[in-house]
Amino acid sequence: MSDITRNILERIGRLQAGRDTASNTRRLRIFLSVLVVFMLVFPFLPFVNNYWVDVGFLVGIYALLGLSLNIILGEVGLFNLGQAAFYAIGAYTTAILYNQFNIPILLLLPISALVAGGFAYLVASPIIHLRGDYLCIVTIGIGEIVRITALNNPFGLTNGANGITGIGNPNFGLFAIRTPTQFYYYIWIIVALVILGLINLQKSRVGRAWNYIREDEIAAEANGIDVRHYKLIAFVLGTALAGIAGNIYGSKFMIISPSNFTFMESCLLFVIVLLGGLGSIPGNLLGAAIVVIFPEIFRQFASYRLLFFGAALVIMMVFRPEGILPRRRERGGFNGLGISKIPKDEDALLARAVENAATIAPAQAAAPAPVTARGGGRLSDGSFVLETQHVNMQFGGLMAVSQFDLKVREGQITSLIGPNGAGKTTLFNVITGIYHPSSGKVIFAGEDITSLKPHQIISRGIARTFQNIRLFPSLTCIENVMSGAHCHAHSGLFPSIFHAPGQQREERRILDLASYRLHQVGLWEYRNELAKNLPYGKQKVLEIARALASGPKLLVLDEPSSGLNDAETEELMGLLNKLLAEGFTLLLIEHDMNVVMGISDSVTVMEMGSKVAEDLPDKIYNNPKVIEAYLGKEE
Amino acid sequence: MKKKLVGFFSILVSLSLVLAGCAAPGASTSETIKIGLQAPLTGDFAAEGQWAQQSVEVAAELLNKKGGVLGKQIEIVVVDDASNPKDSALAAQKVIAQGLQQVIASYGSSVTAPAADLYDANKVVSVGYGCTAVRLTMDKQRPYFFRTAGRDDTQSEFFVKFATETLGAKRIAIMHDNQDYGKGVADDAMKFMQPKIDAGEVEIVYFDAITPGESDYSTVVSQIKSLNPDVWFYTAYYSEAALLLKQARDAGVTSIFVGNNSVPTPEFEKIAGVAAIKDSIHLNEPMPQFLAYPESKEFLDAYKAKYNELPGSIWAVYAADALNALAAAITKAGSTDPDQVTSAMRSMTDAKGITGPLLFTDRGDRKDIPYYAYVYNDQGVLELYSK
Repeated sequence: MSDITRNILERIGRLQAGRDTASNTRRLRIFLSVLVVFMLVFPFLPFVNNYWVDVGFLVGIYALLGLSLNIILGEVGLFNLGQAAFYAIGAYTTAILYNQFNIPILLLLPISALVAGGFAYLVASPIIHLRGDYLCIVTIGIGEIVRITALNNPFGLTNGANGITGIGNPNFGLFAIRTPTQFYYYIWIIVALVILGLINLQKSRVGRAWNYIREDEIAAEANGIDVRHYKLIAFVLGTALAGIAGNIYGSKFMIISPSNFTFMESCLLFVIVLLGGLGSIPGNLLGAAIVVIFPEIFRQFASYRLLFFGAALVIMMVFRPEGILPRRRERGGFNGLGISKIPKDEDALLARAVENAATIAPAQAAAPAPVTARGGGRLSDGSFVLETQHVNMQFGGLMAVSQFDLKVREGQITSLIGPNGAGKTTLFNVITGIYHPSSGKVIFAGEDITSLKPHQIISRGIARTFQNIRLFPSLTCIENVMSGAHCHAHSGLFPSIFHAPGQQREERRILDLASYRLHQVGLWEYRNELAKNLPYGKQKVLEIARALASGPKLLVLDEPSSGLNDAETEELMGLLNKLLAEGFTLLLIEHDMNVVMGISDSVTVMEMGSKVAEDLPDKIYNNPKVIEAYLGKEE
Repeated sequence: MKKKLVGFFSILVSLSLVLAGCAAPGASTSETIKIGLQAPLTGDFAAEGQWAQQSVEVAAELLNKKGGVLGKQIEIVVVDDASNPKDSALAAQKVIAQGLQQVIASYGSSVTAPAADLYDANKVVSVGYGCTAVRLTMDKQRPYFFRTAGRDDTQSEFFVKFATETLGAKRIAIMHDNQDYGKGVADDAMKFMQPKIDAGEVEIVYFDAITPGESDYSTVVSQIKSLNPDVWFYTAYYSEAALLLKQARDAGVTSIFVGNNSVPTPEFEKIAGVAAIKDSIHLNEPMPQFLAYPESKEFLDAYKAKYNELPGSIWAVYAADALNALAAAITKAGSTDPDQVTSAMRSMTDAKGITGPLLFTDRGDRKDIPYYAYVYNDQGVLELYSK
């Protein structure tokens, strides 16, 4: 079966590669240049009067606002329905500071961004961990609070419902931006700069981290992404851009009032992002154009215009639920990763990566343990790399894990077995920081890691896979594996925006490492395929590759063979043995007794949260307590 | 690939055609005089926009029946501003792009402001009809902007005149609610009263706020009772006014109660009851049905004939009067040239509108705007106050 699927996948891959790389990029280039030329000359086209130039300006404003929300909603998947609040804060900051202190509008541009972003940081810090609809409700609240505060005219600053008038124009020295055409170019230059930055950001460690979070928050955290940190970065960056939009809006219309920043405005921005496609920049621009131009065209139908607009939205969402122009990651291959100076030929890159494997794979350097005493030998007295000491994990009245001492020797394969519901996965979650134990300690390589978070634990050297596959389904395989290397890289927001040389070096190293691991597990040919398109067995292996890419000392695998057929299980055992030889230490939960007995150095048996036995595999086989745990007590 | 490119270009071309279709031809044609009407046809105040459109159309028909202006028929070009500053700026650009030289715009002060700036910069004469913020004319001079509606302080000015001259009050109490509108009216009343206070003609015996939303105002009432002012001016909303007045009359307060234009509503009458509201006086912009001008009757008759109802709000009538003012100014100037029309607007002396004479100050505010006092009769029905 796997041969057939592989065959089909290969064909699809060839088809896409043939179509995409050459003619697709050229067509895209032509389209883009036509679009850019059209936008450049737009104000001077014969039928375009100031009215249409202003419409063009508004498309720009909404494009900027759409991009700002796209970072939060599209890239990270945070449901923010209060974006208008930050837009309002930017606008009010500009209006108040200009009117009170006469600060130049252009100087207020970064200040508005800072104030909006700073406010976002303050309000988002306590709520950023909320998921989905909960965050949605909270952000609606923030949006309303800001609007109503402005309406209530605190300290006579906002002038209540009437709003603030008399905001000035941006000035570059003597050159002031006044006419619609000047404003048109002004906004679109800013949008263009933002787009360039965002494209770089999308194709960087930071952008990928955001997408990992959107795809699967728990898997992202377990793969070394500091989820809270990256969510906050996205929230602050997105809201700061909205603040910039507020500044430009205020200086253009010279009046702002709370009626500009209603809940409907936030909804409209939501629509722009969903309409275009999550995380898609071209989709975003198209969404902004639709949202602004449609109602203008239908304006002559008066009250019915929003009905037409609504109907158009419904139709579009029915036919293109992913958005009109969703981001296509699987196209473009490694070029799409935005890393400079990599070989054009991806196989050449792989060859180089394999050659340099020794230097790019951290685990190999730290692989001292001699592989001894395998199989029927005795338990060696090798040092324990992982130890849990009296770990208790209590959920309400249920003791899922009680007084558990697990010992994992370096350079060995340790298996944890036990009947369903024994608490094995819970123990794994305690070890990898997803749960913090009610009492007891987890010691790894001599360090107490009990209270660390998952992303800190993976950087200490414990990587894991999940019982139910937790890949990042809409990302390519190579991107999935690259997440493993995240915790050993350091490039932050600004190096990523500018693709600084150091950041590029780091990205090349990450790519080499990911390529090597992907090849090692035998998935190199699927590198540009979306993870969700892989068959089940391949997905399991991909998850192992992702864990390996973090260069762990200890690899924690939760039922790696479940759902695999015999051939695949055989391959898996081969892989695990290879990894052991490479110097990894392995800890497994396993149900397949052939696997357990075939490759384990040591077996620990768990039942009802407690340890029943710990011994060499063949001795476990005959241990009466174990038999009792599995089969029940003999009468 | 070629096919797709062709497809793309054909979309581009057809889009251009759509845009071109939306943009209207350049300068105004010679057969008619085109006058713009910018109104909130969609959005939160769509009803006001519709009323304004209906009123202006009726006024235009009346003018055209009499031979139009300068021998030409008037044509109204309506643009929608959705009652929002952003759309207002777009609507103004649309009017400017069509080469119109006169426009009636618009409803809402913060909606009118950005449009007025654009009209001013492009030398388009604009006349507001539903914008009462003082700042529109006082913050900066917009030479091409006028308004037929009064300002927020018109009512206060009228009150001072009414209380001191018509009622002959010497001791006056002013009560507000510390909210935007009520406090504003009260402050303005003090401002206009100041010269008379300085001259020793009147005395303000009480100037304070009540707490909105309470059900027992006995403390305030006993205070008013002990002060016993000639006139008690209440500047906030109707629900508190009803309770206050009822409790005051029950307590035997006999001062003349004067309410502002948000007090006399059906709810006020119901809560306070006929006994309490009898003889209380209320200030309001007069609807045309309360006016004795022949123009008012003519307009109302035409409006009723066409729509079988009365105009929905006073602002719509002011919109019709904005057209009348522009028509009168164009006639006086003998041209639609914006500069000549604006100077005619400022120097008109005999222009008659539905809501009274159409006279404007140098800053573009309406002069001597009619403001009336109404009184509840024995049956609890509002009547024009006459001494």
